[in-house]
Amino acid sequence: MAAPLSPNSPSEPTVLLRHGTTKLRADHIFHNGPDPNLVVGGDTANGLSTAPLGGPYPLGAPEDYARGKARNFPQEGGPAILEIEVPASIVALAVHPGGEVLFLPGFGLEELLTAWPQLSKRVYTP
Amino acid sequence: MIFETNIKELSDRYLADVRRPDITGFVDQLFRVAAETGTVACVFKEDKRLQFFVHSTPVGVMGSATKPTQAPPTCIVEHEAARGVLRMICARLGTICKERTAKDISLYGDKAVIDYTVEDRKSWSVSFTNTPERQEFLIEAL
Repeated sequence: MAAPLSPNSPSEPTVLLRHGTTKLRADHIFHNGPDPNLVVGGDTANGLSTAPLGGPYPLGAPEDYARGKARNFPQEGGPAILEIEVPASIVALAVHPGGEVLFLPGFGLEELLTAWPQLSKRVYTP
Repeated sequence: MIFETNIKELSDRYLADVRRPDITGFVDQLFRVAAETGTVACVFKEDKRLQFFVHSTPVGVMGSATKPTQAPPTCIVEHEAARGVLRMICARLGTICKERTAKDISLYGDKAVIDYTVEDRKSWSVSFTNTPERQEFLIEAL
């Protein structure tokens, strides 16, 4: 069941992005943000890979990543989608290979982390 | 030298725009390179470096295999987001495998034999690992 979106961000246009992972990791990122030094389930989160709604997904769909991660880590609560509304100015700083928006150190990750508490976001089961 | 030149040219053409790399186009071209050399592999080398190379023990490659006594052709590509680029290449390979095989492919790492017509090659073995700790791939013409 989908959790409600948290309070909305300012008036700047936003882009709805989704990140596929496990419930444990999605909840952790939801509360702490995608800190590049964050260690969840033994993995260091050295970036945040997201995809816009609707596809196409030439680099893979969030749901497929969620299911794959849940298969690799069966003790982490199953697949989950972290959905975030990110200001367009921060999205513009990320890497856009087509069908994906990748936040990396030096490519929007720091700005995303700073804005994180104000972003509308939710975690749901795909 | 030809391998190095090819990879450098492809990198300049498809990956030079750091914020908007054409990963799909680059991977398509990697298959073309592998059609000539028999294999293409890549590992994350260091902070901003990727090492592309012709794998020295190709499976089922006819005629174009590198002799074991020779150093395999290698090309180092420097990129501001090298690890991210390799992760995206692996993601694209995983998606291609997923689209072209009945096998349930894990996007975090898998191996598949796929049909994919590139030049005169039709069958490929693709393996990749795409986890936070490790990123690498191997494309082999069969």
